[in-house]
Amino acid sequence: MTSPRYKGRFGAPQAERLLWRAGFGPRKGEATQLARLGLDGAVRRVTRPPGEKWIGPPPHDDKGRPLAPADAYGHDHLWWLDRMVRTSRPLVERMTLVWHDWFATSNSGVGSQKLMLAQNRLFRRHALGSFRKLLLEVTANPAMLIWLSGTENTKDAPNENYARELMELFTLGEGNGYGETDVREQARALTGWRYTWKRGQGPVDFRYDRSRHDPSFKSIFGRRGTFDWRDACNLCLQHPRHPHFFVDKLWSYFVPVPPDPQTRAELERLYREGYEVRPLLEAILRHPAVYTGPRMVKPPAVYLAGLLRGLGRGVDTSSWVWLSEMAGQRLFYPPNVAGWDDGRWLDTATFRGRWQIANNALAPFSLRDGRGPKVPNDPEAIVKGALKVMGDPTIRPETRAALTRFARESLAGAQTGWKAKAYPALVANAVRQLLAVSPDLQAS
Amino acid sequence: MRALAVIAAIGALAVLIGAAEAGAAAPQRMQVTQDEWSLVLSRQVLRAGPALIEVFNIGQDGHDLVMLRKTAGAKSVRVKKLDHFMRAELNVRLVKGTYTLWCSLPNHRKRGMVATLRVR
Repeated sequence: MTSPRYKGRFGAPQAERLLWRAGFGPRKGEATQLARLGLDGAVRRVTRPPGEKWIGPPPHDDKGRPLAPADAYGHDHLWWLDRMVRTSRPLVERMTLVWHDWFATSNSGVGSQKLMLAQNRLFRRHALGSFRKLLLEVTANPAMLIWLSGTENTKDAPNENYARELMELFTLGEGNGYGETDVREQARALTGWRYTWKRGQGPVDFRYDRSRHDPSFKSIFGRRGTFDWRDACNLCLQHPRHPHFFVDKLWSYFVPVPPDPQTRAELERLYREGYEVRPLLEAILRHPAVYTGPRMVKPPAVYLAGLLRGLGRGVDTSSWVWLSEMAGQRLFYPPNVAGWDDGRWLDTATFRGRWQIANNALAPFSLRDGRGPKVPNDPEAIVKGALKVMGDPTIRPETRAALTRFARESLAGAQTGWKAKAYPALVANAVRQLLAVSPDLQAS
Repeated sequence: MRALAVIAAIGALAVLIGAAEAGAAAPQRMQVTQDEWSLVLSRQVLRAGPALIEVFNIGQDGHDLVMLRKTAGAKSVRVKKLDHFMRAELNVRLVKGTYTLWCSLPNHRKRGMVATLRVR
């Protein structure tokens, strides 16, 4: 039995969708190049990329200063956004973002950009690797130990915070094959972590201290033993309901509708072979659902990074920090431990953030009469020009028709006098903005 | 919205021995995070030379900051009281030595809002 495989034409539009789902969209010409590799070659290029290269100008803040991700407010966000924009290995960054959402940890509770960046490196290191290793390292990760009270969980005063989320959000799903007794017993198994508070430095020297661990017998999922934190993780991974949960959750980051039973069964089988993520991703990215299924709303960070990649623009302003927050996704600050709510990506509040992101992204390319290339008084040419500026994204015929109609109607009253001179550039700017916020570019 | 919190940009010149020169290489960066009751430095050691220090109050109460090199006659640099989630920037030129940073509001230093920075 194998997972279904897409057998249709694999051209630039399909490669473009692959680059959006498995990264941050194409740079100009990238989709056409990738399409030449065919489906298997393209998926392989995405999941097994050659050495990392940085493409584009290095990032800086509004004052032209280099970024200081651990030492300046908002620079953590800009630093990661820059990686998304300039990387030659977008799936690694995209999976880092997936794990950031999966094991959602917020600096609002951690209070240390340095620790958050260390966790980010952990996510990147295991981006396409073993979920088992990732889970074990996340459980012992300093930012997570602070965020979910791991260092407050002692044999004398067990704290259930991490134990509950370990099962509910990270490995099994709410109430799926465990009960309150398991939560309490898992909490006892997870006891033993601590740190030292140093004046001027904050929490340092995170370590496992056996004297704080509860070594007595626990009963978890019907099994009895003197379990510790590693056992707590392994018991979750060995739980018969874990593969189903894992496959459904991972799938949901790439396809907006659940997998069919045959696909799910095959993906679960693949996953059971060793908790490896890469084979699953390859199976998912070759699946027909990616290429023929419904479109998927881009998370704000993906939308923004993709706009900049398409425009060929680097990270050159700190405005992306507050604009991303306005659109609903400030990196390193997920709203809670459950991660971001995909249902809010395009609500009436966050859409305003996207509008402003598009406006700011396009600002350096803004046309004015007398500045830059002359804009033809031709609706179709204006739409074509807007597409070219944005890296020639694929759009539906009805979107192209709507943009052309808008340009035509806007230019209708401007055939003579100063309007004939000034309007084409203004209309071209408006068409670019409308294209950037169109459904075609908000979803992939 | 936290990102829209006003930034108190104090271009405090400084101190410790003169202002950072315009056009020089990018200054070293350090963040000082204020909370009840701690001051946490993102770096414990900096090199002598220009530095850009961001002071960020993540606490609920207001806090100020004083920075003083441990040597006779040294002049302090001050950041006036920052309310919750306010930030300030200090442009300073550091010289070798040990600096103490603290919140000078009554009892705040005693409660733990003090830190040491070494400059090599």
